[in-house]
Amino acid sequence: MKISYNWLKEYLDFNISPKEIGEVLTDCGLEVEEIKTFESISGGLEGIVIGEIKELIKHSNAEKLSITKVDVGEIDLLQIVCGASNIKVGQKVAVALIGSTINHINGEKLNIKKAKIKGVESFGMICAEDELGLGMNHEGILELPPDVKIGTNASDYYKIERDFVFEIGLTPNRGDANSHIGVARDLYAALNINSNTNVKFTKPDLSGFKIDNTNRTISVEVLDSVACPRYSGITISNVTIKESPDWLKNKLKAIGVRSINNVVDITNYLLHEYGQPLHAFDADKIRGSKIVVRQEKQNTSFKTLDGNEIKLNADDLIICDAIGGMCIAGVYGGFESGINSETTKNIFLESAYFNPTTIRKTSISHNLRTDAALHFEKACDPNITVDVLKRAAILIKEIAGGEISSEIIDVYPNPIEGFRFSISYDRIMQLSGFPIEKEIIKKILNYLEVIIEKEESGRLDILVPAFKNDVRREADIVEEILRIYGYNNIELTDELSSAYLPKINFNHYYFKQFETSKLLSGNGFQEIICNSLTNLSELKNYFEPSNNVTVLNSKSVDLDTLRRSLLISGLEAISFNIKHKHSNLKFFEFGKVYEKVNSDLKEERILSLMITGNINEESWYSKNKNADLFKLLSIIKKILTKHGIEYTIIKVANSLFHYCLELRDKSNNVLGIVGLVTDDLNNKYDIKKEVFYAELNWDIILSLKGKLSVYKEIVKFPEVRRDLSLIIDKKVTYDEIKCLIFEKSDKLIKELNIFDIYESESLGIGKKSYSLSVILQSDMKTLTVEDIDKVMNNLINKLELKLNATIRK
Amino acid sequence: MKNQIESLQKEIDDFRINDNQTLEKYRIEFLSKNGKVQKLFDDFKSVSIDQKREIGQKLNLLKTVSENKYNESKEAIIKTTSNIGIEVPDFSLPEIPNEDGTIHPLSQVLEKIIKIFSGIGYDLSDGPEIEDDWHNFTALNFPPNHPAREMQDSFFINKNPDILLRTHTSNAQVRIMESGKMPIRIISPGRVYRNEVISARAHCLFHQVEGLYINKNVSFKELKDTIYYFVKAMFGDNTKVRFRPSFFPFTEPSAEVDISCLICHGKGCNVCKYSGWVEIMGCGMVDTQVLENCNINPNEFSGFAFGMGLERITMLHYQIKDLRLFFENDVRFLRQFQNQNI
Ligand SMILES: [Zn+2]
Repeated sequence: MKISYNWLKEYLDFNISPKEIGEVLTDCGLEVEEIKTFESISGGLEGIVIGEIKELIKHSNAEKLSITKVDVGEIDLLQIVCGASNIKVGQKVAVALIGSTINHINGEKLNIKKAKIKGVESFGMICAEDELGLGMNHEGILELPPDVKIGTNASDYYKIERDFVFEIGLTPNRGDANSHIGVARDLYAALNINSNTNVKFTKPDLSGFKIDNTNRTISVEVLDSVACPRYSGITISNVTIKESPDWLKNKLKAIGVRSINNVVDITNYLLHEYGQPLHAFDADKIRGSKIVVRQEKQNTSFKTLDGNEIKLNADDLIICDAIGGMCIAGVYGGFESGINSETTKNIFLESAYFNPTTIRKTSISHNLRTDAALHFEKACDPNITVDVLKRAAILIKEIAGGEISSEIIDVYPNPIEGFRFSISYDRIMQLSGFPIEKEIIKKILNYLEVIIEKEESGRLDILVPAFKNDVRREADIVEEILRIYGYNNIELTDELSSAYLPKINFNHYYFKQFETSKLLSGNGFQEIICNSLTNLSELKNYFEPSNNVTVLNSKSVDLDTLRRSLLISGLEAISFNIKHKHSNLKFFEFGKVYEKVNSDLKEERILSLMITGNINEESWYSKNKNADLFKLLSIIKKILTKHGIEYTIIKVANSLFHYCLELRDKSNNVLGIVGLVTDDLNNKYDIKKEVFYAELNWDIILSLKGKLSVYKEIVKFPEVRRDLSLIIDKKVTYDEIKCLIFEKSDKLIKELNIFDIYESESLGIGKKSYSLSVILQSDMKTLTVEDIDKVMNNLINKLELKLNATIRK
Repeated sequence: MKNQIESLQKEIDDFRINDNQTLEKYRIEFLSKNGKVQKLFDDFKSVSIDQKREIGQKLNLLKTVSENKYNESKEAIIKTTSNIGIEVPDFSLPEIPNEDGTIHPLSQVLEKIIKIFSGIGYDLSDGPEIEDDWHNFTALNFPPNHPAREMQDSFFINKNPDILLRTHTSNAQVRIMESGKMPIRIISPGRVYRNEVISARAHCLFHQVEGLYINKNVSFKELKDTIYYFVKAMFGDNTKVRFRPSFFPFTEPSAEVDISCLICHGKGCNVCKYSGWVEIMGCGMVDTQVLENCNINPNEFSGFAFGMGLERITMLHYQIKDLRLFFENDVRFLRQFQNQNI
């Protein structure tokens, strides 16, 4: 919404800069997004003066050019080369001097410099109308009347108007401020409450309104008073429809409204002054001199102002005459009934209040989002229709002539008074949280035209005017008071009055996420966040489409399905980075996966991990190592150990992976999976290197009560280490060895580790060598060599017997 | 006595200290409790009064000199022994690569926000991303056909009944209000969706952090106090805050919160469009209709709510100008946030 500073000054007698007014408006809820300077002629004709052509000769090198000598009121005449054909000695012309900038009507700017045109120097430019930004004409230079004084500044001659225009982002609840008077009302309240000035609010003077005769009375019948609670009108006869005077054109131009003709301009002017849309009919085209406000049958054809044929809905409200529709009420005019500068002599002016919902529905269904409709939708003031008619009639008579030729017709069967309720000072204090003087509260309400009907034992019975249709409850009134008092004037005290002891769940998902993220980033993993919307149409083999959660109305077909696995978005991220020459990647993501199971729409939190390329950066310090399963398993171990969760790993089948391992806890909860991504998937994302992927079912992990650490006495007796190299069959796993060693556990064996793995044909076909270290310790005594040997021999026997192991010496 | 001092001086000068053994021998011989220097101090008691001053000075000088010799020799020995056979490596070699990963800037900022609110007793709460119409719109006072619904373009999973991807995390607030346990003091961070075409300034996905406090006597002033506390903790004590009256269907009174531009500190630059202010969040007193929708008696309880876009706060914090960077996961972008000094 554009609001003019100069207009506001017509209603309020302040003397405050546009910038400060802008701040006050923002502070009371009318956010000023921008303040623009307006000049009735762009550039303000700066550096352009009136001159007289004293001499004129033809250019010797160019037939169409003339060399002129121009008197611009300086001592010397200026030599200017000019190409216009209508140039004559003795003409008064507008001259752009060197250093000035001309603002062409089409928006282009041109800096005037000393120039040489076909060998002849030129000191300025004689302007055409379009070059001055005055009009569209480019038929030669602009000729001015002979009596203009030489040397006059063009800006003085053309009486340039300057203004400042506030671009206000009006919120949907502020229909009351959808006009200059509405904005002035807030400004009036805010200035008087918050500055020492005493500003007066003067609304337009309507005392000049007088009915000349009643020769053209039009009757009005409203058949639907719910859709049209009030309908007012008046006729004005013998008007002359023509171009508007400059003052009116400039007023509208400042707020970005194009001038049409005097009558239409006045209706537009009043729309922006009062916020009341008016509609002007050609009174001679109202058949039967009768207006009927009603609906038409569904699909009735209607030809709109711009010549389009539309089909009406049965609930569209139509302004009809005795025969048929003339205008879609509050939305758009008809082709026939509108005023026309050539033929219209007598007009009927409508000023009505329509139901906002009716207008909105019609406006949206026909996609006719006109200024009038947008005003009616936000709710206008039902109680100003007659005032606005009076103001319009006065202005039309003044500008377009004619006489007021009817009484004001006003159909308003059920006057809307406003909203009555009561609020106590205590409640205002309670909701705002600090004391505001009673006098200030009453003043604010008074400035905002909220009427205090009664004040008794700390309660105010108030009547909120009908134009504030969003103020109906206590909280709304508190907002009205606070926004004028100034949110920024509320003093802070660093204390909250309603404190209580908090209950915070420090095991919440987010706290656990942040802890784990630190662990992962400290281990070289990079957190990624991927879009949860993706496209799974290429992955039907992996994800059963009937289990997808799909969006019905995505603006982008690539993003119409919620992801089923973090693997897919992770592969996209890997692919993106490989394309940008970064192929050593370790990623993790905390995110959700979504799935439709029967009719349930499920969402689950997952922590995903992926590695590809080298797991370390290339450096002189250490050798490169490729990503592998064990790197991923070790990081999973770290995460689960931090949560106190023990688990076992088993092999499972999963079509996304070459091989896949599943992690389960003792109660058989599936904690997650780890696997090597298939070549088929890699190929889909142009990935050449192996990608190892793991995902942890974060919701399940967080739901488990992990083991707590409990302190155990530190054993006083020394540890002893014995190493053992075994040659065993390749198919024997470490797990089997471990189980065997700890089976019927010899309590002296505390730890087992494997420090070398060796495979060679020299060991025998199908054999491998594992080098173990065994840590022995007793809680009771220092172990003797005999004690140790006994345990080790026993252990060797078991390995030889059960696993067919050979001990390397 | 003078002679004794002089001869001991000579003896000390002549003593050669080569290594740790001779150093220790020197200490025992001259500086220890039973050493020769101490012995002279013992004898000093018997010096006649008229000589005490002169002899005393000489004796003190001897003590200083003998101790200096010890300290200097000790240092020299340490130097020579430590240098044997050890060379200084080429410490100008590039350092071992820092292989730390980084935490996504959105997560870093989110953690800080959560910490700030935990500090004043806010618990965490969340709701589903796939939500029904009631929890996303109707309970929050967006009646059907209300113009406010036009402000948000939603992704629908189902129509009649409407199931959609939540457009804000306020659904978590509705759910906790409906649970009926008072008082409520929570923040609800989470992922939300708008049906927009992806560009530098708009994305179909972003994150919000919303807050809710409901109790007896919660006031607008407390809302303002809370927001000021947050802004100062998040952006620094010197940050200026401005409240602008605004409109949201679910709060009344409502406000938008601006802070002084972090780039130009209010002087005006292209980030703040030369206004000196940048918008960071919306807030207000929970609309009484919303309380009623969630079966809370507005005459007994009042509350406030606030909400901010995590991406917006993060963009301001790091001067990031393109929203898409957050979800492209370009390591050239992500690796810039190793410094977790936020
Ligand atoms: Zn700035």
